[in-house]
Amino acid sequence: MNFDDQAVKDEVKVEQTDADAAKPSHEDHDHDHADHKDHGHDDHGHDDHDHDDHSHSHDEAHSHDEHDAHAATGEKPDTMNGQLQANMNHYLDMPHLMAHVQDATYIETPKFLGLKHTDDQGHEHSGFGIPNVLGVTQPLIGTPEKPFLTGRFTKFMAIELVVAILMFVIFYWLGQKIKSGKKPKGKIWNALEAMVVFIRDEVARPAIGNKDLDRFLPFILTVFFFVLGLNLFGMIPGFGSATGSSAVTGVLALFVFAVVVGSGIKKMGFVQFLKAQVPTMDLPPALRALLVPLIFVIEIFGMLVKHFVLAVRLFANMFAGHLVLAIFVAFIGVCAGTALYFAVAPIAVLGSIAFSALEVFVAFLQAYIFAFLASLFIGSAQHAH
Amino acid sequence: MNILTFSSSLLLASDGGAINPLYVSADLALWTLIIFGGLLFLLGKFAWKPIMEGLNSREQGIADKMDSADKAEEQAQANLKKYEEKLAGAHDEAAAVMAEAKTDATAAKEKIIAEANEEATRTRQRALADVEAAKSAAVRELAESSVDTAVGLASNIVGRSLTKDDHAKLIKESVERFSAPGA
Repeated sequence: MNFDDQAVKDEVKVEQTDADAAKPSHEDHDHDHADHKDHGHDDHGHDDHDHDDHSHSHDEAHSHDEHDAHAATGEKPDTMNGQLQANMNHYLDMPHLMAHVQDATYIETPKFLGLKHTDDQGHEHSGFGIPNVLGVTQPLIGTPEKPFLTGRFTKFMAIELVVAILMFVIFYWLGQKIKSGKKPKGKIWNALEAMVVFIRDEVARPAIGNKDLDRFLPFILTVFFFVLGLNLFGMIPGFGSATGSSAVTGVLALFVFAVVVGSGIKKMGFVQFLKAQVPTMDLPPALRALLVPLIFVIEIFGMLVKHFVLAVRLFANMFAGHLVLAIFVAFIGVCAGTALYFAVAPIAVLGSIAFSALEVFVAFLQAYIFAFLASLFIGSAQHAH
Repeated sequence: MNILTFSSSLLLASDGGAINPLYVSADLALWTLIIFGGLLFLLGKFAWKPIMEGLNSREQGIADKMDSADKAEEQAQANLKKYEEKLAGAHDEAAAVMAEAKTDATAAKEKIIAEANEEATRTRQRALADVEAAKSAAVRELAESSVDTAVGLASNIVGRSLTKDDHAKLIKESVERFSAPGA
């Protein structure tokens, strides 16, 4: 669960107390309305009780009835639905939800911590700000309306930096330990080694082959652990997954593409590498002249697409996972101040716990898939089609 | 109605600038390029290299140790076989020694018994001979003494000493007398 969620819950608490204060009048309204509704039904001549019950069981029909009634009588809106609608407008507001899973200039903290941050646009948030390292007020490239390169240090950048430093410290330590030639002792050492050996023996070696393994293994390992680190960082409340941003996964996929094309050209030469993209076919010359350029274009396009998809797959998985988590918790806010709160809040909490567990699994799975596909692409570039 | 509002806000959001999830931030992309590139370089030099080399040398070491363990086991098996053969040989030898000792002992026993028997026989024969000799000596002595006695008696009876010629004459007569009744 995220701190975002915590913040949402905090807001819920505030609203809940408001709602409690206003409860008697709510209930009065409910009663009034119920009376009114019954009358309405009578007026319309719905004597058939079976039919009446049936229409009540359908929420949509129910609310339509009410709306018609409100429109007809010009009364105040139904309080429970009104509350829900107001909550929904606030908590399920897309910019608001997206803010929880996208890059930002601050790290959100629960409201009760009392931390306040005013962002560059002058909006106030509860959290602490990421320092504007370069001190930029104007975009470095582009206009304030259409900025291209803003120069602003952000949350995801800070997370990437932290993950990179952590990775360096951890694997430098592991390298020294392994180099010492001593027996591997301790949970951390063994766990890290198990992962490194898994990536080497189960991911990289089958795809790339023994001959070229040593050249590409450092890249595969770096990709895997960097993606894993960023994914797992998203599970820390308040931070968010940098891999849930298309810029990050796009650049990672670009690195894979560069390694694939670069190593392929280095191995076969530029012309040979382009030729290798077309599978060898036993065709009559006339047909060959027609088909080979066509297949070449398709293969090149396919190569670009598979790297693009590599980026999108990781980004979409992390982004969607965290958005779903945010929506789960937002439901608590939506139901705040209504009787539904007591049914929805526990379910939402349990649901978001279960979903968080799933997200931890997804963090490992997506890192594995990214490293696995990168290995496959690199491996296939080492051999002719 | 509420769901409809929500999904329409989703649709509207997807073409808005800052909250468009497909919006690629050049800042973040550039930063990722720098961070990942730097990480790739630094880890490759200071982490993956010692890790890969360390793992390889450890694996090589394990493989070597397994090979030498195999060899040592082979050696041990060969030694075991050798010792077992030796042991079996020693067993046979011991049995042969025992058998030989047994035959030797039997032979010695038989020899000793034979010798003892021989000795016993000899002793008996000697004893018998001694007895015979003693007997004949006694008989001779008896004969002599009985002649003397007879002579003594006879002289007593005759009352005179007999001369040698008398003796011889008497003996001749006596012998004739002895042998006459028998004749």
